[in-house]
Amino acid sequence: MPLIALEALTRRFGQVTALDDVTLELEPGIIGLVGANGAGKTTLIKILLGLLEPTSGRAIVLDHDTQRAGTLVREHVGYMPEHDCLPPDVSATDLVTHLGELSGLPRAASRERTAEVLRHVGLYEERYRPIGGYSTGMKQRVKLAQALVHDPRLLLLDEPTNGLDPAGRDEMLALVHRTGTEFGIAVIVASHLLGEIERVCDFLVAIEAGRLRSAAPLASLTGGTGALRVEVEDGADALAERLTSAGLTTRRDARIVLVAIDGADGHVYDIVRDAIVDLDLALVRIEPERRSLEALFRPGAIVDEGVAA
Amino acid sequence: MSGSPTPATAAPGAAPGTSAAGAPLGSIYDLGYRRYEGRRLGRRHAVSALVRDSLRSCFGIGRSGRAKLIPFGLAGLALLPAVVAIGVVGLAQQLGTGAQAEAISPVRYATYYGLIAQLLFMFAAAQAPELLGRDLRHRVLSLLFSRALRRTDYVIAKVVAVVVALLLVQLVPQLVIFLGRALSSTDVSRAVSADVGSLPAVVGQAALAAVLLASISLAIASFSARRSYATAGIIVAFVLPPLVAGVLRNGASARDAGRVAALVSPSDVLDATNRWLFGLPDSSRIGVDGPASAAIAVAISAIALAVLVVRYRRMPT
Repeated sequence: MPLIALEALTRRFGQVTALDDVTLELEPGIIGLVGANGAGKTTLIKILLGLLEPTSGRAIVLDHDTQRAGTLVREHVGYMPEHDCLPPDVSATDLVTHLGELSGLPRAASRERTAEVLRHVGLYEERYRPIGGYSTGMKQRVKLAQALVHDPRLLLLDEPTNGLDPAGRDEMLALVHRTGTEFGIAVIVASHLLGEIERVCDFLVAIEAGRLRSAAPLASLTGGTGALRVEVEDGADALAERLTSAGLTTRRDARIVLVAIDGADGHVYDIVRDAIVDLDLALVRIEPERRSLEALFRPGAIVDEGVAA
Repeated sequence: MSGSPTPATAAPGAAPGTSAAGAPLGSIYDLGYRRYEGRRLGRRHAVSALVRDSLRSCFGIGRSGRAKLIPFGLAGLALLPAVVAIGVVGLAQQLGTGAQAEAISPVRYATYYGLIAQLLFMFAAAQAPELLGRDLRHRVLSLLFSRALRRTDYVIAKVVAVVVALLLVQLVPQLVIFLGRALSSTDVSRAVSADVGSLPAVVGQAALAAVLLASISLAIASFSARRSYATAGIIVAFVLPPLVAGVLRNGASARDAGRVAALVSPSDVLDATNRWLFGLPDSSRIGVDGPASAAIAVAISAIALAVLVVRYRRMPT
């Protein structure tokens, strides 16, 4: 049974379709949910929490229908909202203890867990002071701590690095990564920043204008494309011609010649080397071509775009 | 220093908290994150925790000193007549005039609601916005609704908290009167049995007032994140209908309209129920009998609660 199963999930707000017929199954891991602002990330997270009703379709989280058994789902799910949501007049300790109780923990257990998670996110003496005086970084930590206090099986983080400076971003991403890998909590990180997702996630779900664009392990999206990039100072045309006549499939891109490795016999590297030596070209670099995540979001991009296409 | 190849001599002069053997000396152990294997008590526990926290907020407990000023000030003022009356009766008793003093005392079970009604209305107008506005203003609802409870549970918890707070404000003074009378009496058991008969009326009136004022003030407070607006709105709802009723009553042509205004005026309705419950002569302007005015109080409460529930069901988080 998967962690999350979405069945033809659709959500409309009046004329706007925020989620359009999304069917998807996700297994535990650190899952990146990427898409531009307004792509439907927050809508999806709120449906997973049972806070928003789907217009049609179903969302099953931890084996429960989020509409019919929302409280059971939320008992085991932690949610870190994107926006500011902390009352300024209470201390982090009091707030997180209270929220832990609202997730069903006995009071004493909630106190103990609060002390632990606040230490885990790096809040020490300041946790007894009113939140109103905290920096943005500290507030983000409190938001993460309240999502962890009841030891959820699934953590939903909506733009967790919002408003943080570069150092704060690094720390938050490290914290998310540690939480997901060392403690076995499944994490969904929604972000519009691919670079961040790339650093912490092992699975990627991309949505665009409410539609599912791709859902695949990160490695398969950033792995080799099955092509060799050969960059030379001058004479790329001559090189391409020479390699084609040697029976290889090639494509030109300015100073770069892309050579298909897949399907060719094992001597591609030798042939390329010999060709460069024969033509007396100045070689800049030679490397296997890797997919980039950004390519996913270029207009008209196709995930399994091949070199020979 | 960590790279220096002198492990054998490191122990005495090593950096605080470390030793050559690798065992931390007096350092704080980072237990980090641990799984929780204990009990999970679910929705009922969550709701009762929310009620308790909300009740504390009603009195500003766990908040700054300034937050306590208004609720404790109003509750203290509501208690004052009871304390003074008991003190006066006690003093008179020592002078041998206890019976007369008690007979003429204006502070009794039946009149207490009328004495503190204004304070009660002010308490509801001040504290209901405090309970809801804080969560609305700082968008805390998304943290609360994403837990093991439903939106309606949140509404129920807030209503229960304000009702209990208003009951406390009303019943603690009545309890003081009761204790004072019982303890200052020469025959305690006779004094107690004489007063027990008033219990249903005391509790009934307090409950009607608490439910009616809590539901009206919370329903209005749910429409504004700004505390001052919400409080002003509640005061208007409490003050305007009796004012209109009073004005229209004097013009003979609009007497019926005046009666209608009195029917939706919380102060008029509760005044009528108080007279009915304690068997006082009916001089109210509401123009319906006691049971009917109690029914009106219940009906207004039900409408206000329905508004509150719908409001929170539809609220975006």
